[in-house]
Amino acid sequence: MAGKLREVSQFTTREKLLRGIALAIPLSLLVFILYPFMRVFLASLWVGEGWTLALYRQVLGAQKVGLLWNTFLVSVPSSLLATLLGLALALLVVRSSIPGKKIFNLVAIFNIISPPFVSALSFILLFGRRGLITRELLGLNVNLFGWESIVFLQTMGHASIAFLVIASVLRRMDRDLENAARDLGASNARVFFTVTLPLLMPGIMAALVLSFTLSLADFGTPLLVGGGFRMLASEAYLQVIGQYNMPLASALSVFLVLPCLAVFWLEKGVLGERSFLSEAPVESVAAAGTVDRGRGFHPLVTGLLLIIGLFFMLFTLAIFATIAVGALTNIWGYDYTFSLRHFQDIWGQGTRSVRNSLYFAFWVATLGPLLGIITAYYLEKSPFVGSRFFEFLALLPFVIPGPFLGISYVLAFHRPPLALTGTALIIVLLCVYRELPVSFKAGQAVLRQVSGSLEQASLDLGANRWQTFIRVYLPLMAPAYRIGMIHAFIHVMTTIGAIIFLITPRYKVATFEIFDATNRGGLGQGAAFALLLIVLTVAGLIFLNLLWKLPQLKEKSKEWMGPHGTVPGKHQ
Amino acid sequence: MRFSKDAKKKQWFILLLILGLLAATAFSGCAPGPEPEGNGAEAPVDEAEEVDEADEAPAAYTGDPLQIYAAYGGLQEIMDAFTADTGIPVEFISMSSGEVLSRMRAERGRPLGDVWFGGGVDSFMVAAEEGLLEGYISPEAEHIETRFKDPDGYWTGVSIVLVTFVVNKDLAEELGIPIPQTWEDLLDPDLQGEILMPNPGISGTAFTAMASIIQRLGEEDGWEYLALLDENIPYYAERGSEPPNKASLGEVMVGISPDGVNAQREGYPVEVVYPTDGTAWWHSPVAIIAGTPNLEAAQRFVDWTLTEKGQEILAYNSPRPATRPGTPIPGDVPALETLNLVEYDFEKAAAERDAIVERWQENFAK
Repeated sequence: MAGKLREVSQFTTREKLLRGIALAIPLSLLVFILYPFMRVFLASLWVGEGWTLALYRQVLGAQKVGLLWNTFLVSVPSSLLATLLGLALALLVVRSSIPGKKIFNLVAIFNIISPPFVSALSFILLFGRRGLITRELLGLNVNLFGWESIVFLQTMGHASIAFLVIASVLRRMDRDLENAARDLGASNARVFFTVTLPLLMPGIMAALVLSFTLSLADFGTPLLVGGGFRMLASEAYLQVIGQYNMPLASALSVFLVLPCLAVFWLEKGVLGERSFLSEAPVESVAAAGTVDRGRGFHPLVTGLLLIIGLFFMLFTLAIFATIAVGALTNIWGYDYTFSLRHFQDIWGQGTRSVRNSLYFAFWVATLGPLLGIITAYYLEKSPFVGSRFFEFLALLPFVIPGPFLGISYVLAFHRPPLALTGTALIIVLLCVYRELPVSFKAGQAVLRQVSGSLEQASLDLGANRWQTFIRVYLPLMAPAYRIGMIHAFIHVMTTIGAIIFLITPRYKVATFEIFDATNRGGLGQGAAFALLLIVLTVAGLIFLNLLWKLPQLKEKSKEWMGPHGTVPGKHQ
Repeated sequence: MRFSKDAKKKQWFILLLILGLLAATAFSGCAPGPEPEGNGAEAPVDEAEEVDEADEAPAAYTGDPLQIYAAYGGLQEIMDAFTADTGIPVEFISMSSGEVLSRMRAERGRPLGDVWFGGGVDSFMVAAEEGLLEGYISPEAEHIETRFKDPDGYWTGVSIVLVTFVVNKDLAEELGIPIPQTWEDLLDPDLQGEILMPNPGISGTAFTAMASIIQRLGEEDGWEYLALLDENIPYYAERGSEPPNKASLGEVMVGISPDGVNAQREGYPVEVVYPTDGTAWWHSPVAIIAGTPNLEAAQRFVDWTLTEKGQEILAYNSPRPATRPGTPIPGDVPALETLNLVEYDFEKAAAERDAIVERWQENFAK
């Protein structure tokens, strides 16, 4: 598949290839999204030599039904709170008049790169029984393990993603409507609740869906700070690693994915076609030129938003500082003398894992978005029977929890004809398809804003469809490509849940090393890996951004400024 | 579209350039592949181009690098030593016994691993029964005590894992509780909420500890003891690593774990206690995965772990007593003779496993 995609970009072939891709796109969606998906259902229903519902009865039985309730108890509040926090941050950054508010943008990006496991350990070191803040500073003796801590950590972790989604909608929002309402005498509060909020709904709903899915998929946080509190994702993981029970893990995963699908449909139903990922990379006409009346909030509101923002910032910075301290001192939490011994420890095997992470991230970040925008082009521009269904398939990975996806790929691609397990390809494929919805949705948004007359003009002027595609559409979709690329890069660098079942001795990744180090009690090593991962991810992002900005600076095309509203996903 | 199309086109072209560049770097610089000959792990990233050559065909060693699933401490040092001695490059990954078993089952007929190194002996027994392991009686195995190896050579014990109390000394002092030396001491009401232990349904350590208690005290007293111990346990951890980690960080005073010495070596203020009224133990084996395409190298690995030198390197890097008598052990590892090991019947425990876990789930799962 990779080869096919590269040919496209080499301008070598013509219409036939175009048709070939037209066939290959739906086919690949069937093979790499629908098929693994069905395999999980199959594995949970077909045990030994017959069909059975026994596993489902087991899940709904006395011992396990508590899991469903627990998962509900955590995921609902955490996704609501994360969305609220994200909304507050978005209002703060986009709408308030506080100087230096852009810093929160940066903090949110940072928050997203926070590596798995180690962040929870930092949390324990800061707020635990012997925590720096709870004990040394406040003199408290707290027991922080329980579902409340899971909700809190997930809220803080997923808020940044909710923020990015909501902020991108807010930035593109047409201010005219609000201004009109204000001119007609509505109070600020009234404008906010009757105009702004309804206009923001697509973004808010998307953020809600996203944080809900992430919360369901999160297996690390419950294990680390849950204090024995069990949830679906961690249970599915433990069924595989502890009890070698793949069928039961599959059944549990089905329960993970059902609520996600339900929310997905609900959201589509509520919002209709308005927006899902709300990721249109094209700036709204209204954003720049209009006169802003009544900009800024009531001082009380501003104050409240600022307090929330500062709290979020301090928390994120504290977690990062704690990780850095853990990586660079002798004994994390006990002996704060400077030491590089953890980096020495991870130098050998560790550098390889880090290299693997970079390798996967680069491949997925470069190839994935290409697939996404081409898929968007085909489904938008040459609709065929069932293209709605294929659109659904292309968006599906968005709501599928990572561990489910990982298990599905193991089940689907171990045996011939597609015996891919143990290769690097399967990891790249998994990540590419997992990232597909982002660039697909972004590409779709662009295409829907391009009037058909553009294509018509190109065809009338004698260009064939191939030339039109290459010369008209691809350049238009470049911003969509960029969003997908950045998102994919961050996500692949920090993910663990989806690929933990696929990695082999040869293809270990940095996040796995963190997991492994903390497992063995090498907390300092885990912190060292985490710090390395953070630095490399930031460096990679700067690099990708620079490359992107080079032509811009040269061309001095002053108008084009892609929104910063990328929606990098969270690990898991 | 307010920007010029030309600019966009140019951008797209540059993007392609970047893409090509990235692809090139990714291929040459970051391509994961077999380690180069010798000790490739030491190769810094800058030498990646040379590493790339080894991608297709490792020069001197004809086979592929040995693929090892491992549950062992100090892996990097151990594998480096093995490669230095034999010239066989190794790639390894840490995995719990349960996951290795899951993988071997899923990979039956097309195994992706060659050797399984370390873990719970009960999982090895299950794997041998299911035909997932290759029988091999190493010439070095004659030095290993009979009770530490499988008569058919499906697995051979390389070290003894001991279930210990990892006690946070600072916290003990603060709470004014003497450091517990026996299982009986753990019932002290002052220790309420201070003891962490994994869920026996998930952790082999916890299961072995519980089954040992039941075998030692007898059915009735054993369960009664577990009920009393349960009073002091706030919750059962989902992972074996949680109790020692939380004891290290001072979240609880006592963590029940086989890996206390690691926390001690990391520098945390913990004491490792080998309970004097009965230390639970098992042997951690090495085995060859059935159907491995790399049998000869796998056998050499098994041989090496059982040699005098291999045993010493193992004991030093993963602080545990060795199975080969007379192996020198590091100072922070106790000699087996000084410990009160439980007389443990592995077969009985394996036969009763499901019943014990089920009864435990009914009574104590929180």
